[in-house]
Amino acid sequence: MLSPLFKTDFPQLCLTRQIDGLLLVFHRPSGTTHFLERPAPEMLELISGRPMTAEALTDALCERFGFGADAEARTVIAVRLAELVAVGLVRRC
Amino acid sequence: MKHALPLAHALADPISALSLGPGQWTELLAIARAERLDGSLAYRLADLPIPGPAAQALDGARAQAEFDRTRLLWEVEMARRALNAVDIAPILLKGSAFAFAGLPAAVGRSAGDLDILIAHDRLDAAEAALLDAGFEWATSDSYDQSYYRRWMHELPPLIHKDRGTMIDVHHSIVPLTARRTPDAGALIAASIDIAPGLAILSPADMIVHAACHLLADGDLSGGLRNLWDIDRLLRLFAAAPNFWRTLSERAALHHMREPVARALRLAERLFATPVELRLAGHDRMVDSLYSRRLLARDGWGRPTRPLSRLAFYARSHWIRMPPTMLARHLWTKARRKRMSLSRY
Amino acid sequence: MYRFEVRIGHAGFRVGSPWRRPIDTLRRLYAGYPTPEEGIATLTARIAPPKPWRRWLRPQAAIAGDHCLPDMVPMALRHALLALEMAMNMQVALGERRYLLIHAAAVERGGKALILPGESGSGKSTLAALLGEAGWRVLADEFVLIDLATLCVLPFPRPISLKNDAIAEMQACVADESRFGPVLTGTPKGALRHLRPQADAIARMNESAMPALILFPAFGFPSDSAGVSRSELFARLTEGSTNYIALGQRAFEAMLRIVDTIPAARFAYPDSAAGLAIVEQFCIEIGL
Repeated sequence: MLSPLFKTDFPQLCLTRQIDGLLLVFHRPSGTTHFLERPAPEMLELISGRPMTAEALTDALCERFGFGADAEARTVIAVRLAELVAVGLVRRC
Repeated sequence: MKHALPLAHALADPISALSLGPGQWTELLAIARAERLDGSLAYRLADLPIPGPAAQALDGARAQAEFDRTRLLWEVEMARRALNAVDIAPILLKGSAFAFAGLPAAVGRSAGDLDILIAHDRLDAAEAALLDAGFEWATSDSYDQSYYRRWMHELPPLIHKDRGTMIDVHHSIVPLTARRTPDAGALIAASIDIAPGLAILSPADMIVHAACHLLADGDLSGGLRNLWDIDRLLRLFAAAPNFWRTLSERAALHHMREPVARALRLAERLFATPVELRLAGHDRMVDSLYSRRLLARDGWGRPTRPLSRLAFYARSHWIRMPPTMLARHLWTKARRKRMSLSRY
Repeated sequence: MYRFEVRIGHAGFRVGSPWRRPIDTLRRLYAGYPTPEEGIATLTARIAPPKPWRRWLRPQAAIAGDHCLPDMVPMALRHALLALEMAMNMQVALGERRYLLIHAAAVERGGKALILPGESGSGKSTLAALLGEAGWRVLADEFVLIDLATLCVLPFPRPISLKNDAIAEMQACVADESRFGPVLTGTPKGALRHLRPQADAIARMNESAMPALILFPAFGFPSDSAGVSRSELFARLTEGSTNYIALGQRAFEAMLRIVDTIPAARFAYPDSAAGLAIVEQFCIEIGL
């Protein structure tokens, strides 16, 4: 079975503002205001470029931040991704 | 004001509101809010020269309706994502259908829960997908759970653990145990795809469902709003050729001739809705009882006519369940209520 | 139904009660307040017995009105004044959709507003009452209303709810006994007494003021203060708002402008004198 792909419309349909190292997001379709901290904004940025699997996203992120893409990194990314899917900023397909 | 007729008048004939006195405006707002028709009223009166304070209050109702609409459409989207993942394309019912399809009935409507219809054989898959998407059962009580599953026309209500919103998953539009049961398969077969992964009922079926919901499925509380939905839907759909004939056929197919006829008569009586007379039939004496029940709200927004409320409540359950089952159900409910009260 | 109509700020209320005394008491408390604009009250608040026999037998007052929360516990009739106040509050807290509503007190001096956000127990109401006797105009003690376009604070100068020790404190510095409501003992929050703002605050209830400073008070700690970052300010103000979410995008944009333009800090204080001194210090620093 293929790994699921994750995609996002971000930053379309959103108002955003950087404040104190956080990204404030007003998501118009849901009317929800989110406070996003690292690595969520970076995850959204990468996925908005093109849909990715969780593995590909983890690799790209770790490369960006200069970490090794180890099991811990995969777990953290998986949890953050689930959160972003739960609030509707990311879709799973 | 002793009843909600001024609200019905203001909705049906907005110009009539211009003759309201100051105290009457206060009462109209109280009644409209109690009936959850303040948003609809706001849009109906939008371009009229009404007094400043009233206009401001109705602006607030419009702002609330817009927020409700955003939230409802978002619930539709999140339900779609969850259900499409297991190849279910839900049929939107009531407010969510009106909002998504941009029907006039949606204008100013304050949100209820999300109601969807799916095929009976996909219920388990739908349940699993929604639980997976963060929904939880509103009741863990095993009696309620079994009651809903066995005898009602829906899954027990689900509430989202983060958003706190409720979704009602129906597989028919009237409980299985009711004396008359609409043809769920026919509803689904005639449904209209409105977007990838989403459908709505056909126009005639939408009226049948609304009539059902108003008359065969409840004790008429909140009914004025449902009747207003019917008025708005009929005015739009009646413009289509052969609509009345189709409505007549669908009402017969679903064994809902009488509720549909009654709904048409009540809409005509309260909102002057143009209806086809043969389908609506002659006025019945009991229509007055329904009409009074729908308007049972005083100028403070309080429900009035307690005896008629009781009659309709008992009647609505009689429609849904055979008498022996009804007795057992009410007994269990009463026992549980006494137990929960004794905890305080 | 006994009724009373009154205007507070921009809100016109119709208040109802099947018992006469609470309405009479309310009328006395609101002496000097105007009637609703154009005679049209647009918010209905009332109390009612939760069951018919509760009108006479161990009578209880349940809160009701146009906007309501389900499952509110009714109060004993002797606390009916409190129930009426809560019913009126509920209409604003649940129904306000024009102005952004923040749980805060606010006072005005020289045309500029000082906002004191906080929940119950933070001391904001008492501070506002004290400042109101020390040259400031009370704009609000519970609900601060902010215009989404201009960010101006619209006054909502209802009678201030004083609790427990604050009652004696204010009785000591307000000579005019008629400004006080009756003492209510044994309420869920202890002893309670209402204080009507000064006549000036009532007369100028339609005069808004631009906010110049936001201070978060915390009563009952040694004196201390610290700045509040913009993100923290955004979070705390929205958490303390009953209608931020319902107002949507315009509220998000207004809140960004608030955190960008209005300085904010938090402070702790052990007693009123210390609290007032800290407030004055902040005000001097920013020229308020």
